[in-house]
Amino acid sequence: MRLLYVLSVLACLFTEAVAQPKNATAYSATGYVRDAKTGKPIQGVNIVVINVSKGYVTAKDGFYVVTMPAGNYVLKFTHVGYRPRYDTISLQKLLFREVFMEDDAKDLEEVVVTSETPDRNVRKVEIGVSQLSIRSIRRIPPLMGEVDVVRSLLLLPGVTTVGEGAPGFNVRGGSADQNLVLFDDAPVFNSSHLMGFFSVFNPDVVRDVTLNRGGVAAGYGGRASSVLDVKIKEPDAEKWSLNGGIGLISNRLGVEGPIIKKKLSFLAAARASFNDFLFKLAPANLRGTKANFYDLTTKIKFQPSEQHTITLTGYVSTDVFKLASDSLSGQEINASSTQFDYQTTNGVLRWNYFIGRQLNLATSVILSRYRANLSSPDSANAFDLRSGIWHRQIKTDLTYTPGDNHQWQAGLSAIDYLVQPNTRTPGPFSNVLPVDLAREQAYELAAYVQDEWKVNTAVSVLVGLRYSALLNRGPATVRTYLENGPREDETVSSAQTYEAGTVYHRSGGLEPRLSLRWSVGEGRSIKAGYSRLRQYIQQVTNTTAALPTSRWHLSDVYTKPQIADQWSLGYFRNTADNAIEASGEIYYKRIANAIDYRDGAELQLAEAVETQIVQGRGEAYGFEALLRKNKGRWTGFTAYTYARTFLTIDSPFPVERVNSGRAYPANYDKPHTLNALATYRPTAWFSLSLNFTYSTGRPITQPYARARINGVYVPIYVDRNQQRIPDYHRLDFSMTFEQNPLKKKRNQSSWVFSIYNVYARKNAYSIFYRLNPRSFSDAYKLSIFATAFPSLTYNFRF
Amino acid sequence: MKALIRLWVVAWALLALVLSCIREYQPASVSTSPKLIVEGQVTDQPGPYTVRLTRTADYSIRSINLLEEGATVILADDAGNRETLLEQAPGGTYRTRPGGLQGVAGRRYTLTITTRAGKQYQSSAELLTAAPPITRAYAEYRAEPLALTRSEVSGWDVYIDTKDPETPGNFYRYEWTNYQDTASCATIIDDVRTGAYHDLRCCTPCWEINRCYNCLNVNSDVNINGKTLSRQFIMRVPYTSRKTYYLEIEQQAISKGAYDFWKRVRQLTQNVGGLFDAAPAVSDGNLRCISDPAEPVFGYFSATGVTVVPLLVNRRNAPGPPDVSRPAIFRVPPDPCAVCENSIYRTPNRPRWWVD
Repeated sequence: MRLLYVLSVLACLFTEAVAQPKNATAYSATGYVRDAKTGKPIQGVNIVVINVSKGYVTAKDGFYVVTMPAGNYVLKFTHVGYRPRYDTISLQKLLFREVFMEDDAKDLEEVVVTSETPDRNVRKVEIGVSQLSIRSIRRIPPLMGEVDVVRSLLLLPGVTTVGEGAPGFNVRGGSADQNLVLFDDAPVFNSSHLMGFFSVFNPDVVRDVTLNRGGVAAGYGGRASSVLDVKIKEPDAEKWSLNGGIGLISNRLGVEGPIIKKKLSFLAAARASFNDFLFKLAPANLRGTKANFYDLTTKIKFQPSEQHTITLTGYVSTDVFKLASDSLSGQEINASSTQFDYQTTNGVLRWNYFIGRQLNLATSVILSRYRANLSSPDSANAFDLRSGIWHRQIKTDLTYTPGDNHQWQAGLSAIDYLVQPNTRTPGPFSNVLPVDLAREQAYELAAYVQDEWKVNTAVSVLVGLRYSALLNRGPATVRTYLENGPREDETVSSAQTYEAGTVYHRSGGLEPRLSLRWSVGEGRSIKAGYSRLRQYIQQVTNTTAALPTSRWHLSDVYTKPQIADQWSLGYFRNTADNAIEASGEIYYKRIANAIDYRDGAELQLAEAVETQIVQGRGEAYGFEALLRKNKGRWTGFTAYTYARTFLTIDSPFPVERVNSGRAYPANYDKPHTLNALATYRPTAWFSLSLNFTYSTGRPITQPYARARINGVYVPIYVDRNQQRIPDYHRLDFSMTFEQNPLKKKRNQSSWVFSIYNVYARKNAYSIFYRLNPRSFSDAYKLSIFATAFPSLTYNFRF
Repeated sequence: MKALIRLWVVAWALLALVLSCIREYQPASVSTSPKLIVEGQVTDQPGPYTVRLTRTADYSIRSINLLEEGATVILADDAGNRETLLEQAPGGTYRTRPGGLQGVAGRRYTLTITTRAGKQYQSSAELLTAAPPITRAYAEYRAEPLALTRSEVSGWDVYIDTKDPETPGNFYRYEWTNYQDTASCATIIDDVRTGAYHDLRCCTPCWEINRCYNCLNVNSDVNINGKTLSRQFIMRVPYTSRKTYYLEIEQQAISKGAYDFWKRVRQLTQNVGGLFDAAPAVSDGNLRCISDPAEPVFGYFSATGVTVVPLLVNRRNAPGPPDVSRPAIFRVPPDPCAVCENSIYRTPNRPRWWVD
């Protein structure tokens, strides 16, 4: 069967060779690139013909074709996570060669926080794209022993957070909900466990992580700032294995292997925390606290032939978080405790059809559901507040590679959204009133086409065009407000009701994308990019970081879609055989219809979101520099970012203005960030990493005066975000002891010892203002992780 | 205190083992010119009613909120009644005459202020709504764990239930007053160094008055409209004696504006600046400067309906001995008695529901 297939491919190639009689002296070398251990095809391997400077990339099934005039050549195969391989060929006829690449885990020299192959940062067309392999993420000193995908992103230039342990991250002046987080193509609406301390991705199943913060390809859309694409590894198709780990916060167990060898393989990995016992040891007033999470990732891969691959990914993540008070509930209901439950359930069915060496069709059906629940148990005041998002999507992408110089891609996508803002159900004996806010429903449709065009050896462009639209559909009631007043419940002049299925509002438009690379010499290139992104779904909140129960809202008649235009320009330089990488990028971004909340907004149970939020303009600009050493016993990098973000929200009505309509820094405006990571690996079984991070404090609002009302000092605020909390810096350290991988052993295990915040700096988590007659201070600083925090994790693989 | 507990809960709940800490912090100093603050209310109970005028100060423990003296303060209703309030010594406090204007449910009240500098301020017309009665008041014994220790403190949590009217848009504020009979009407310090003292007996029966002067306890019917508002927390009775604890609980019906104002004030005083705290907002009330519309005015003038119920809390069912407060020492032979003066802290008038 396989032989037949190979023969047919060869036949195809012959036909092609015959069809190009003018190029009679050109021949092709072709074949598959596979993992030496598992035999699994490797996609995206870079193939460079040495001394000719021609580059190729393997297709989804590992297939490659290198066409050159007759002669002798050296081919260099490189891919992240694999040891580079050189192959000498004598091209006098059509060659079929299968190439096996070895895992680089045994190598002493390793690439830390790499952007794929050594010179890829200079050669690839896209600007502002960083890829991290799970191996490099594991080298970063972890917090409490938890290897964390999102936390590791914070080391990349242009990525910041509003605080230690805050959910989400901010990319180039965008809010946290402006990042499209994909876990094997399914969107994740809440990427954190335990209110933000850890991310929901189990490191044992992650293959690699790509963050697109500059030139987002036309295939992606729907969020204004960035795309974080987390890919789950392919299940091992050759042999069964068991892996896992024991840590302070969570314990992990995973299994993978073939059900039918090379045809049907399976992967399942679970992670769970058991922290309740810690709270039992805590002081009495905390004994009622609960904080638990688990997540389960499964993937089934069925490959009936080389042409068809079907994968089914399933993912469930659940958090239970109970506080012995009503402090965070945001509900004006008397409660002795508050429980948050939130759950993500994703399913992706993907069919990849490799039609021929020029054509590939990938079709996916994606279901993603996020549910958040807030409840209180007290019988007379018991309630259950539910909210959720249902995302159902079908999309298809066709890749067409007619030759060396063009790679076309086109696709369609349709998303059906159902947003349930908040439904409050009273308990059986409860006096709390039920509330059922209207569901929001819409279709988000998109179509795109893009071409990666090698204009000549020096210049490549990636040009794309995407069209997206949001069609809001009933049932819905749309209010009309008086024209000469602000939008408030009291200024409604009429309301129009639409029946189920009626499309009552449309918005949308074109999203051009462009990236250009110009190689100005060996290991040197200049890149430029422009992109426009439209966002139709947003999380609306008036807190600095969103709670798991914060409300999601679709764009509609009043909430206009956010539109981000970004221009970027960068210079990339590699020297010393790609051992040293340096780059600098500048960007400027404009966001139309940026969202903020009104003073005193109450969003959770507002019937009409437009009475609580305001929209205006956002402006972000910055500079990012990166210096990296990829080879040797010492590896590492230093990244510096200067970034500013301002919002301007003006209106004819004072209540719809923020800071009287003047520009003000956004909550996540942190001008200076410096990150450095150094890893020392003297032997194959030991490594040591140090990580330093510094950033300017986030903006806060400081009271300008105090009033004494009812015997209490009340702070008086004038303008938002005019002061900052103190600067943040921290050093972390970790050591990894592994078994010597050169001694072949079936069972492998490793120990990771780490210290978070080595010099025990009391970084400010928040500043709060309180006048206490017994103290001469007007404000207080709260620090979390205010001490050096050690942890130990054990990992195994059988 | 609640805010501090909350800080601990959040920090601990997130990471049981991590030590978080709170340190004093000196922020950069910022300031703005002093603005007028107005506090005052008219109720459907007999007067006199008080309006207090002060000025904002820099946000610091060292600054002083100055009193606004020499202003003309006029209280008027929509039935054409008006009264100019008299300034009380030492200034800044203005009061209606005893037996003067009295609030009536259903009328609207407006406060007009002209400062000595000639600036004129006016409140919006506030509607006085009658308060629904408290249907039940009750106390529940609960041993409260002491923060960060393993010991517990005995006490009684006091709650009320009330039947909310069918109409939506009812807002409540709660206050309480505790009366305790006392034998001592004066304390004489004999020696400042040792702290030795003796007490003087009261000439007449006398009660000490205890209130929470800085509590902001507000609620609304937005979540329970037309049903019973239940388990509304009022206060915690301390275990300082085995004697019955006498409590008067006041339910006030306030306007939506007043509710929003107090809620925002409470939010501002409890905000810990954390990532999950609602961001601070400007808290202006229902007063406007007429002569200069751009000038902000802070505070609230409210018209309030009031109902009162008593609650006698039996304190004999608690385990262990009470936390004894300072004992009274009467010398033998007896000293001359001291007069029980009527003030906000002490009264010779027998409380309405007192039983001996």
